[in-house]
Amino acid sequence: MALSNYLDQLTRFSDWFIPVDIAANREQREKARLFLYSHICGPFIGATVPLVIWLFDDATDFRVATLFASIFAFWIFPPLLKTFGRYYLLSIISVQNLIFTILWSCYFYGGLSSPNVAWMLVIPLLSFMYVGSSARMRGVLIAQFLVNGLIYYILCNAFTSPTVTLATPALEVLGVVSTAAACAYTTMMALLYANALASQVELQSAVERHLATAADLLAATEDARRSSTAKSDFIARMSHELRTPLNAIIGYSEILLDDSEGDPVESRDLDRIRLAGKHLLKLVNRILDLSRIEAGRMEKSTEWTDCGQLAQSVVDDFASLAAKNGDRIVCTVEPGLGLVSTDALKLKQIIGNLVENAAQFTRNGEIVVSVERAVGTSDDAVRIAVRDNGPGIAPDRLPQVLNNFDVLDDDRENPEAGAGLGLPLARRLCDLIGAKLSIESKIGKGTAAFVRLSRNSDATQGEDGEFGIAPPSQDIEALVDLAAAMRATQPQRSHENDQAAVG
Amino acid sequence: MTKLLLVEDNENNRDMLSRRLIRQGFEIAFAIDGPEAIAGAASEKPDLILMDVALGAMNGWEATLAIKANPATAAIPVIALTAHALATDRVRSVEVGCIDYDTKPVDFPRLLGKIHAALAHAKEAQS
Repeated sequence: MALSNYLDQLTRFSDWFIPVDIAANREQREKARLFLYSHICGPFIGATVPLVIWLFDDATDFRVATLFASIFAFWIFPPLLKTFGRYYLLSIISVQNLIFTILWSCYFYGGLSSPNVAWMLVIPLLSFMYVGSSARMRGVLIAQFLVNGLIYYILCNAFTSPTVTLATPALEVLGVVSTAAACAYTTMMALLYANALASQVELQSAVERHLATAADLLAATEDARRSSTAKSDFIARMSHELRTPLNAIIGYSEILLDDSEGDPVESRDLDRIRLAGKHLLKLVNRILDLSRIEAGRMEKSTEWTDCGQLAQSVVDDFASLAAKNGDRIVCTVEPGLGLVSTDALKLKQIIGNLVENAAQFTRNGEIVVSVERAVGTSDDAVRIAVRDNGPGIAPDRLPQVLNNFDVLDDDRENPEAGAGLGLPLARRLCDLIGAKLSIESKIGKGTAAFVRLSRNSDATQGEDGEFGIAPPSQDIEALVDLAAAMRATQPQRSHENDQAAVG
Repeated sequence: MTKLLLVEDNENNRDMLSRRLIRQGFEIAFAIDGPEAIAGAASEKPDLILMDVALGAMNGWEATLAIKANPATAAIPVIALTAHALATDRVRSVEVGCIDYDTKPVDFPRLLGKIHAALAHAKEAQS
């Protein structure tokens, strides 16, 4: 514990000397750390050699002084590194100083039989640790060793060997201390290196763990996507299978209805079977459409379409449903709109779903379908609006209503309110044909749904998945005003509708 | 009496549609697959063919093409019945020579209107 604590402090201290650009690269940083550890701690260990010489040698002179100086010169390197950052250059200079110090201590104290020869081992150990994996720098080091060796050889031959001034016992002490110090030095460096390696391995395994997690997540995503497609496929197949018996139920109840002239109870019961069958068929068809869209299998086509005529035909289709709920339904078309290139069948389905939704939830109110030129945009677009003055949808429920297959809470008891598939389907169909669906609503005031179509649908096909929910605007107020005006001008008819709704 | 050839592989659908058509005064001949439809068109000489397009081995489109290729049966109007109101189905109907198409489940009054219109059109073409 204590050792690792010291090591942490040493690391913090040496990290202070590492320039930012070196710290940014992990390998560079580790090399710089080893460089700094050796330069900070090394002189303490190395200085034991001149210390022993100084203690035992009567002739204290420039030889031991130079040795002390060159050893403590290593302490200049950390600040130099921090100031100039030239790591490799400093490494080479430091190695040169190391070689000089060791050769000096050998030359004057015994030559090749010097007790300091053991320090020779430290030279390659430190040098190659400093330069790391750089092949160029390794080459430079080897050249440096050879040049130094050559110079030493020449010097040894040129001059007579200096006489050793230490007595034999003192040389023995120096031998023990020097060898022990060299061992301590290599031990320290080996331990620090092992530590760096361990942290590297730890990092590596963390990376591997994260990679494995990423792979797992990817596989899970792929699984989810596959099972979603499989689900859509299954629903599409099932829906198709459900249609056949449903068609038989509807068809045979129609045949029986044809036969059952006269008996009102029987006719009514058969009609209920037929209507329930048709309702179920509609739900199945919607599920089929939704799953087809989700599986990316919904076809689309474009043709030049008269949106006004299309809206009018939808209004005609839902006239009886509206009348049943006491609603008045009107269609207004801005003159001179021209044709729009779109998928007419899908557009009709979208408008149908919006109108049906309005008609189902509005009681004794008004539904206005209007086809108009879209305003406030640069491109040529048509807007189809379906406005009602029904109960409205709370703002926080709007996203849910458009996305999820959800019915409004208060209408759960109403079996005819549908399964909430209408709006999500309308939204997905809009995405599919490149139209934009937006809904504005205010509780107690009503709802307005807008489908915005570019005249040429190809232009908007890029912006899929776009839909918007706007805060209630004047549109709702305008509708309420419009509804009031309509009631005022046609009191008779409104009254009739109210009666019909009550009855 | 006006004779219709009903090409439909599902027994319930065949039964329902034929009963309602008979009630409307039509005489009905049946075919349950493509080859039978081609043979029936030649032997029964119907005034109109109601062709389900999803027929298994040989689909309704192929059968219609064969009927239109035979000079003896080419003039018989064919109404295609498709399960989905897909635009591609509509296009295919026109391509193979159908006079009209309708979606299943049939809205009987609407189909009846299409049958009468097709018959009137065919009569006009003859005279």
